[in-house]
Amino acid sequence: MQSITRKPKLLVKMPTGPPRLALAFGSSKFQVSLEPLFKSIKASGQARIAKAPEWQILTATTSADEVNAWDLCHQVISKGMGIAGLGAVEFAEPDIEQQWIFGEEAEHALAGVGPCERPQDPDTRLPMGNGFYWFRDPTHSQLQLAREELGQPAKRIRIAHFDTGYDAHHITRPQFLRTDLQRNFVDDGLPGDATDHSTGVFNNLGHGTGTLSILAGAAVDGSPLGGAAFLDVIPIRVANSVVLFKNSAIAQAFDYIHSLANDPNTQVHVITMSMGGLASQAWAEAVNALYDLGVFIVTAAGNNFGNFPTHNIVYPARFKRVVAACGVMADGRPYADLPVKIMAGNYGPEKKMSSALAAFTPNTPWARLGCSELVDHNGRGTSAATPQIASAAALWIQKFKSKWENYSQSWMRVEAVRKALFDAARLVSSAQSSRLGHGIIQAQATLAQSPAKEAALTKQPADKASFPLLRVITGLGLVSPDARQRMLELEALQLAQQSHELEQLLPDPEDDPLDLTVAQRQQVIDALASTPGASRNLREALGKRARGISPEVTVPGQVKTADSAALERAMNPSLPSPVTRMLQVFAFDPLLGTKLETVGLNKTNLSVRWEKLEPGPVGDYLEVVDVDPATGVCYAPVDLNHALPLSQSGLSPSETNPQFHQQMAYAVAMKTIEHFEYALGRVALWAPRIVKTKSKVEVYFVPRLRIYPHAVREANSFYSPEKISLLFGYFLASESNPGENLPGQTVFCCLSHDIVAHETTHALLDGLHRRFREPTNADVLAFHEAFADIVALFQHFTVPEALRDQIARTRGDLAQQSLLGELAQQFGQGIGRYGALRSAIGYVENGHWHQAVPSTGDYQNATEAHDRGAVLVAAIFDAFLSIYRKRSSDLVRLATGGTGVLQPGAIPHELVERLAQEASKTASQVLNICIRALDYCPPVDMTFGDYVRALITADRDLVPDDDLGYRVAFTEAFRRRGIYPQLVRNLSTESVCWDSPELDLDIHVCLQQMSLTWDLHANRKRAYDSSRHNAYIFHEWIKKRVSDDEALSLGFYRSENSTLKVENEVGTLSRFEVHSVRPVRRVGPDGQQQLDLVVEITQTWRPSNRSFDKYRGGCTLIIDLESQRIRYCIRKRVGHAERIGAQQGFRLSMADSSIRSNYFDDTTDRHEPFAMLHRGA
Amino acid sequence: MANRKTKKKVARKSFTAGKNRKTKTKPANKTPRKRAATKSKKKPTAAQPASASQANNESLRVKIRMYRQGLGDCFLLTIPRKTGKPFYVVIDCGVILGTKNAGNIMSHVVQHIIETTGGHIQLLAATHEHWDHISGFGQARELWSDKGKLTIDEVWLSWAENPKDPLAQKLRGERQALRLTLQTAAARMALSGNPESADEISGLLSFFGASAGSTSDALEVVRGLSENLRYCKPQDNPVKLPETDVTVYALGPPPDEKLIKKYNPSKKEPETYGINAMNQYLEDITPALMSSDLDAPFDEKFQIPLPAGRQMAFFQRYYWGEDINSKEKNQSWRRIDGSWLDSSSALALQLDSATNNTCLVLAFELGDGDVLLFAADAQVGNWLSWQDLSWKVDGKAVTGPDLLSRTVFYKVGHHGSQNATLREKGLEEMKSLKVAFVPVDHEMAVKKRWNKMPLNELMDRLNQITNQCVVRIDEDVPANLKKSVTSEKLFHEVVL
Repeated sequence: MQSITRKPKLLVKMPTGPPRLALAFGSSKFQVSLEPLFKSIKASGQARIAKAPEWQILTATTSADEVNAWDLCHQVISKGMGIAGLGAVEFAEPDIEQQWIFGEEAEHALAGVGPCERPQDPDTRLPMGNGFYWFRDPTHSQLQLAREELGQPAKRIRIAHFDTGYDAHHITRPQFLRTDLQRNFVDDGLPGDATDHSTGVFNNLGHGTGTLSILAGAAVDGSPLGGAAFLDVIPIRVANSVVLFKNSAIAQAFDYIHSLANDPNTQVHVITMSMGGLASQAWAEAVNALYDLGVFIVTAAGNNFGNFPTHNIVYPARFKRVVAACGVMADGRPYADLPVKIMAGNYGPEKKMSSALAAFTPNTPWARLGCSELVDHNGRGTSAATPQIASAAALWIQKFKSKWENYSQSWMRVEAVRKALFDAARLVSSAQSSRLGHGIIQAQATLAQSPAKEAALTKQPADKASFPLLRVITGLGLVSPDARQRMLELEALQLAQQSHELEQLLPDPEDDPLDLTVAQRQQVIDALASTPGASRNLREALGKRARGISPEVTVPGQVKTADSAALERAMNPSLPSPVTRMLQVFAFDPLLGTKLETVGLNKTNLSVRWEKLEPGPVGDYLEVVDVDPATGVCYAPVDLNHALPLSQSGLSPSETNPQFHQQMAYAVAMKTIEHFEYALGRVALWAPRIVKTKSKVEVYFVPRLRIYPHAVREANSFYSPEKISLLFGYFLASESNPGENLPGQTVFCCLSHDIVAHETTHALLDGLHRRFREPTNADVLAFHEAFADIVALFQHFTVPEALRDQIARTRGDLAQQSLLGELAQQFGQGIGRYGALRSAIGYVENGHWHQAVPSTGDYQNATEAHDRGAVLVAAIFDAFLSIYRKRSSDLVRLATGGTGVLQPGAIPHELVERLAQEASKTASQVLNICIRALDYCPPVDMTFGDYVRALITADRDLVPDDDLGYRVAFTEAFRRRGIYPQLVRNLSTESVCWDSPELDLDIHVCLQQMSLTWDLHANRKRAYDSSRHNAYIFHEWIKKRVSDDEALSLGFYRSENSTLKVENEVGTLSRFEVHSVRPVRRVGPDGQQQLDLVVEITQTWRPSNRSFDKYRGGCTLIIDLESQRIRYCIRKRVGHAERIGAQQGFRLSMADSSIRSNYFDDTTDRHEPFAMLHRGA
Repeated sequence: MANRKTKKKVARKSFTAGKNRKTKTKPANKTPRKRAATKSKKKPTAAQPASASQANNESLRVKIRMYRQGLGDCFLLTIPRKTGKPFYVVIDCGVILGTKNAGNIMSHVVQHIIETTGGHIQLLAATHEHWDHISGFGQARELWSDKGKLTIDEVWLSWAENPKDPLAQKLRGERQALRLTLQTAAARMALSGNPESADEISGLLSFFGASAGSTSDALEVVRGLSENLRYCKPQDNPVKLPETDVTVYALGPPPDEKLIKKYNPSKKEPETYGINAMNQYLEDITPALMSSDLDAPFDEKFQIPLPAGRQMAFFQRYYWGEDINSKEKNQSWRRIDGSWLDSSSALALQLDSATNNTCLVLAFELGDGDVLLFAADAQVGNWLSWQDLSWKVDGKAVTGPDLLSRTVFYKVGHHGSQNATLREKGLEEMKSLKVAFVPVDHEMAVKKRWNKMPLNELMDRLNQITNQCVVRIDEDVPANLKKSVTSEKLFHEVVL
């Protein structure tokens, strides 16, 4: 149940008001419409008075901020509908949409698409009788005998069948289907059509077709399938094709049956419904009204897996005036308490079992929708049992119809049927009554029961949905609870129905609460109050009684304040927090552990920054949630704070333990975050969650990136910008072509150091530049991939274990420095990733690795995203090699007495150690330089040339003198591959660096209003808020203080919604947006570290006749806080004709190469751009 | 009843039988090329098709009728013969799944064809196994198969429908396996609360009809309509339609697996799986789709079934329950229940394109050398293969590019979508193009969320090339074609 909603729907009992009105709740304002729920069932017993409260369906027609539907109900009660003179609202409950569970998803899906060639087989794990129609034979329900006894009656009684509808063309379609009386309460506009129609390819679940065949199915093998084959059946559609139903639909169906009772020709005698769920007050009133009319109701007890979430019978079967249909298996054992992966039927609580019966399931016949001649053999769940009881009841009524109609009170009819069924039911031992109620139905034996004398019948008290314990808790006593109290009770009951914990604590919510101990009551209160989804009203009602956390020893109040504080400290001495947490990981991926030569070096410890961790692990930045929907399981979250893992650097590396996978994904992702934060000098933020509704755009802070270590079954992993999550895949290495893997072995992407770092980088980059995932030119997507790869590569190089062994083993190759390149290429090879990206670094020929020879055409010739990305990776790697060579040459000279030529044999361990350190240090420096450049990038439409300029400028700002020639190494590496910035004359540092702006704007006033305390120690939520606040200030400042010309020089237009003509094409400019205001570090002239400020401004131009096209422009400003001047303006003008033309051309070429564009507007995958990109790898 | 008729018309003679193997066509006419040169000058308006009033004139070369049944293909060609009644050709007969009253509409169309042709069709071609091209054979099966009302001399299908062709068998097997997996995947997606993606896949699979087997049933009907069944291959000799001066070339499908699996012009096909990846995908998800127990990645002792996991406080807090960390309480946006099936939609598109590439593409060369091109739904691989085609006709070579350059009438491929009309080596080579027919119903396409059907840029370009002579099912006839097009509620018909 989702009680939290943006578009609430309620069932409200109130005087009839206007059909439309507005409803406000906190900041949410809804337009709502009202329509009557009941037309026939009226307030019982009362004379019709004007303005009497009646049940109505209140539907929000617009969506607004989230509300808890129960809280809205309480507001409606306490404050009314906001219309004077309307009168009080008597009761309100959410109109819940519920899903009926009657099997596993996988089974349903298979059944739904299977060809009509052969029936589905029975479930061999569970018993089955003789022949496929065993359920109706004399040793089981006796329905066949009973039906034969009655023959074909002339005046048939009527059974209403509430379900998903019927298949008009199926051979089992009942002979006397009263299509003249059929109703549909699901689909708008089809009130008189109860067929279960399916559109599209996926044949729906056909639940109604299945139950209807058991109820009254026509002849299949010469003999009719259903017990009530010769009685009238009225099909009523109350649930959609996947058995999703609204409470209101079932209530309306009850009401419809009520309306038929006035006419003896339409009057319904039996209602059968093979579904149910959470309690509803409207249902209770409808059930009571029908009981008073003498309508016998049987509904399914419900199903569960391993008694989760509860084995208690669902509503409406739980009502005492309704007979609950429980299950019994072919061999007489209760269909209950089965292993966790096999569906079982519900039973209990104990008091309910006095109005419960059992019928046969599973492996009953089950007509299949859409396959007109097919009856499957795997009917299951209490769905299959219910119609058997309904048909037995109907046959009995048919037999004794005249006597039965003569009861003086209508309710006696219900009780008479029940008595006959109950008395005839078979119960092997009384011990089984807790599962089977009165026992197993015996249709023929039932027919032997004459209608009971009136005196022998007892009226059941009226049904209600209550939770008496709550009355005791809230101190209101047990008598006549008011509406608010009854609503709290209904909510508590619904929560209890969904909670395994509450069921354990309180097996029957209707038990006398005074039987519970105080401690037990307290447990229930605590559990209720902490249940997710509980309304504020319920929490408040429980509030004071819910247990808070109190310290073990408190200092007595009499002690003097100063002393008290000292004592407090002495009693609770503070422990210094550790700086790091050591966690074991695979150094490469598990594959290396399977090869003899690498087995020793595959494990390493990562030292991750210390933070408070909860199981998951869930920390400040990350939450690892291990749900594996493909397998249909979850894996318990690892608790890294547990003494055992804490004392030995976490769990030891293991492929077979999912908890280790969680640990490794956490550790590597944290390491990547640390690299970013170190390089940028401030805390990292994830992309915010953006919700676009019709009226507005909502933006939510996302504190943690979510990691799903086992999300998908494919050789792919990706960052999902929509879910702000990393989804890692796993797959079986192919039997026929396993590559380096063992055939049939499961390969886990989350155990690859590189893949985790790569995906985390995507998320971090998206948090920084969310427009970088808009493919406006060939470089943008390539950059996302290449950058993620660069980070993964160099982060891996910072792990000395990853280098040491290679340096030692390939000592002879040191002169060529090729080993690192080879190593780089090896990374991730086991997973089959990065092959394309890193082939730009080098290639293997005749068993020897060679560095690729760059050419100035590399960049231009690579047109496809991966190839382009590879060029950038290769350039950065080239720069890295030059720097490393420079830094290590002195070591080699020292070790060789100045010759630079190493002696044969193994090189000294110390030299290996020092070289590895040097390489690792160089890697981390290169990594820093690459990450820092991100602050100097344009906000949109990035190119590699821009990145070159950003990188050089950023580095110059931090390290003013470049004595080791780093910047030269970079420009040289870019130049050799043809990556040039546009409009730059030569590649000297000075000309490559970004220019300062043409205009000198006075931003003094604006800066004064900003709060600028976002650094490495900032609270991230506060950093996020202040960034947004600063953006607002900056936006206001531009709006009020900057002239049109000045704005234009920054690359955008101040005015919004104005038209702009670009090369004869008219378009509209949106409002300019200030995206991000964040601090950036540099070193001042005096060597002092200084903070600068980065501001990103964007604006969109949309051509009028192609409104789906967006062309963005804007600028990144880097502001010197010391001098309060804009140092750089990195500009991509909005409405720039040439850029627009290029982007248009690029879009067309993308569409050309995409078969999606045969049909859809979006050429890349709507939701998962990175998944798409990675699949192409 | 049927007996009486069948007796009368025992085993109609195929007009292609025997001719296929011969290298020479009958020299009854002058060579087509010469005619083209002489006659085109005589044509009343070179830029415009003949006007309707000329329909009965001697100058009538062919009438092309496009039925307006909805989103789908159904064409009737009327080719005059020197003696007696015209030669009738029907190409496809279908409408997209989900069209309201489809059964009635298609029966109406077939009835109308029978009336027009007087119950005698000389040639019927079904281009490929997609519902929007062949549904009518199933929906109006009784009309088609009623030998008392309708006789069909010859039926053409592509070699890809030939049950005896090994490559056709292989491709068909692959498509069937993929289709079953995708259907199951779509069902799982719908059940796991991702109806949008499920709809996307179902929409694409709906080209195979409503339930398993419905398109193959329809195709079976087609096969039974005449004893003269021909499986066309591009290397076959062109066929001269008897007593007419029209020659028919089969341009596609290419008998080459690589080309059948080529869907877009770029070399890399960045967003699609290669063939191996496709098999890998099937290997990865099939076990999970078929049963949830096999191939579990971890030992039983680690597995918490979802119903139990759902009750654990941790998963309530971080997966199923409300998000206490955010102002937005509902965290369903973050769940991944159906993510493992996401790649299915890319595969559904590939399956669709692979089937479209098995299209029978026909070029009708008129006596004067003008060409009518019926491209069915051919995709890139099919189009590219025409470049290398060449036939010897009366000792002279006719090539694919040659036919393209003489195309005056183009039945736009795949309802005007992006990759079904190749630009270079396709549309831009149709230098003589005068009229284009687009069997598209944009409103219906949008209902299926196929907003790019037809592609605006392509429509613009076609209008430009044909000087606004683009005729669509869902639109009235353009003003400057009013003279040469007969337009009714049920069809548009152009006289050439």
